[in-house]
Amino acid sequence: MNEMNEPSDEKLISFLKEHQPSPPPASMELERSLFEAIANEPKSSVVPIAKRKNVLSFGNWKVALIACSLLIGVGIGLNSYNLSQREVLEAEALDQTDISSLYAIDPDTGLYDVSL
Amino acid sequence: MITVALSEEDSILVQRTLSGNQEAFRLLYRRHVGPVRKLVYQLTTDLQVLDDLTQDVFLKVHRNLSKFRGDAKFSTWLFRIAYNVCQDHHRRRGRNHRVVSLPVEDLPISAPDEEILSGVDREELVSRALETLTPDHRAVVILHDLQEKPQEEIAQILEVPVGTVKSRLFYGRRKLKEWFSAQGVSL
Repeated sequence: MNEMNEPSDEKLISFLKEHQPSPPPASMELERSLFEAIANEPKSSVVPIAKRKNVLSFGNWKVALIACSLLIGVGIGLNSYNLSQREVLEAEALDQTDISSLYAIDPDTGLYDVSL
Repeated sequence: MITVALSEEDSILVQRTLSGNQEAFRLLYRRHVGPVRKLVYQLTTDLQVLDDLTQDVFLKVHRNLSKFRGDAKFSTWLFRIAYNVCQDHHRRRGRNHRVVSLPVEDLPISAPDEEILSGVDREELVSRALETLTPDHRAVVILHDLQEKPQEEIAQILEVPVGTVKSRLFYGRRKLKEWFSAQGVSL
């Protein structure tokens, strides 16, 4: 651990170690107080490993899968409905559009030129 | 009835505690309370809060025992919690860097290299010296030079790279040497 230490480091470490601040020994009162506090702790916080339930169980996955499928299905359905509604509205708008504003009249035939 | 042996590994005592055996936790406590209490004292240098903080450490350990995965040693995980409790204590007190409350001149160290400087005085001197360090440097110096933890374990306790531990150790020691020198203590 001290393989990289300089001699002055060694002296410092030795001095620190020899005179390091040390608290008086712990009293039995500390232990008694700690275990009393533990006894009064709410029980819900610690779940023994052996008693843990697998939250992501197969049954829950099935329910989640069905719910997701339903949501996706509803989403696709709504999207299709919106698209079809938009097409209908566009078609209706086209019907009401004056065709003369869209196509020029062919001077030879006198008809609308819809070749483009 | 105590159904665990004193020699059992910490990890086994953890499992037994999680199974509801409180005597296993009592053994864990008795095994580690000394080093934890010393660390808390050296980090805070406050005897008045020492037992409260030590109790807080072991309460947190008990509450979170199911989260101990065993990737690191139990003592490493325990020291990490103790370090965090001390950090929280410093934050609550609103002091990231504790200021020395008394002038250094008040210390009876007029002739520090001579026998008249008692053991208590020297301990006080070391305590004062450690207080001059930043909390980060102090933690590394204490864990490495006083608690004799390897640098890799200190890195795990403080959740910093090993290079950071080395750097903090270097600057912490340099600051201490300068401080001792300024006090007339030749090391």
